[in-house]
Amino acid sequence: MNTPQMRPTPIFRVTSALSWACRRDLRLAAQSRAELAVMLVFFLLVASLFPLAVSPDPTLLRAIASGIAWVAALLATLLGLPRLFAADWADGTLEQVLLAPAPLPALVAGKVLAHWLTTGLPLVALAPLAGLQFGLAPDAIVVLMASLALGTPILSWLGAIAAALTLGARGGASLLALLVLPLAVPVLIFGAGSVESHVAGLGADAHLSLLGAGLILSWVFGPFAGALAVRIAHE
Amino acid sequence: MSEWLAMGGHGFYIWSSYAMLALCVAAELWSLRRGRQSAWKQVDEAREELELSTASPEPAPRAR
Amino acid sequence: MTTGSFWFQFASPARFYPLAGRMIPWFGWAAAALALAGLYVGFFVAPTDWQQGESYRIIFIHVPAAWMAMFIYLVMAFWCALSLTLNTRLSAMMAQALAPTGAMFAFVSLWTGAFWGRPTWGAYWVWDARLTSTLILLFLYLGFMALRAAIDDPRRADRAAALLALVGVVNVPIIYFSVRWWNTLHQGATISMTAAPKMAETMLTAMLLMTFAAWAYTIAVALHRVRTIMLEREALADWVGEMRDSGDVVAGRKERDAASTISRATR
Repeated sequence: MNTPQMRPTPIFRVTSALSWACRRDLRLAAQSRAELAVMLVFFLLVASLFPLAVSPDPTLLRAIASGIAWVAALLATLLGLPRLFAADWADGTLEQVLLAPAPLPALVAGKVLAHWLTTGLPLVALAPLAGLQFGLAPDAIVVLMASLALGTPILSWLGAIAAALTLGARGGASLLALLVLPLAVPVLIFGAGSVESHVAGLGADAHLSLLGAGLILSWVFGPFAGALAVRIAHE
Repeated sequence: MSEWLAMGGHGFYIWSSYAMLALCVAAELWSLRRGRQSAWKQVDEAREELELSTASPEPAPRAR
Repeated sequence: MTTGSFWFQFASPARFYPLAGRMIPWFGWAAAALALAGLYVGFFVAPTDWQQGESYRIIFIHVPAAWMAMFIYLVMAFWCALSLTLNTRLSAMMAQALAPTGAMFAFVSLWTGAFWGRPTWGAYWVWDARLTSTLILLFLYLGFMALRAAIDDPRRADRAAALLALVGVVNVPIIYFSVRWWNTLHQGATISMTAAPKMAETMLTAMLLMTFAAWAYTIAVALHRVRTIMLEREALADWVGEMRDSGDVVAGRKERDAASTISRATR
């Protein structure tokens, strides 16, 4: 493992550590593109299950569209979480990362950024497809995409902390889901609610600003919580 | 008495609620008792194991 | 001796075990007495509600249970914060001891809420903001307990679950706020379990008595459970050995005799 060349100034340590970790994870993700594609297909599949299970009535579907899209996005994100740390944990790379002179929060942040770029961002891009499936109006689809763009990074952070905590624990993916889903409820409420609010004519500003605030909070506290979780996993 | 128990027709709901609380409390107290007994058992087993592993080796019994 | 260092001696399990043992009966009996008083006032002194009839009497256990579920989570998170910052084993054991009781109260709150909702508003489950938040709180408790159970090393389990609880406690107000927001936006029926009817003083008294009873009960149960946890985790420690051999702590001797009788019988 090549540790990044560190310049003496702290801010460069942080940004170079972050970009190193991000680029490395992106390179690794590029090698398993099929896995990512599967996750995106899962998103569309879950969304398609609802009309089949409930009813194809267009009015009903339009009413529950944003909720379904958000739940599907949440579940698809859950799918990709174990691989965030699992591979590095298994071959000992994560332990090396712990010992590296680079700031651990920045390295964790880089991994989470890469996770979002390979999970959240594609979901934002796929959202219009789900929206069309449910007959959402174009402006509503735009709000859906905005809410997903603001919310999925928060999900990545919540998921990353939970994934680090469950390293080496039994219970696997279901334990991870049990930990993440209750914490993700506010994101779900404000994300799905933004579209409904917009469709009802009340505007999505409040919801989107709250999501934005959550995004900032998760990026401020997430790196430190995530680093602590990784350290705990190695005791 | 049975009038009081009926609670103006709401007896089923009231007594189900209180019964569930009583059940949960009883279950918790019972699990406390069981947990304590099992803890002492664990202590006994752990200490016996320790004593056995640090005891001086006995001469092997002679087969007849 | 400063007050700080006086209290720190009880951070040692050896010291805390007998102290906790002496405290349990006090809190246990207090809980029983308070509960009896509360139930007496609730059922024989408080009048029938002109709006809800007799079914309102469920609030004497529903509201205390809901409060306790929330409060225990806060206390649990406090102990978790202590265990992460001071790195003490006992703080983590206290958090571990509190979780099951908190989950129990959350469940009771949901059950009694359902059985109160049915006669009052016609449905067993209404997506009222507080009930929904309590449901999520129950999941947070279960997640905490599941994570502890899933990690084999006790110290690692301590710290992992502690971080989870801290992340959870920061989220609890956010969850409550978001659920309330969601609930008011979807106001179909104006059902609110928080808008309690104007309560007669006797009703309030009964509710407070039951709340204090729940508090005392929680402390007694948590102290008992933490003693059990200490025995399990410190099994090979000297003080446990001394207690086992000499029957020094009165309560310890009774349990040890009972346990060895059982283990001899099942050998």
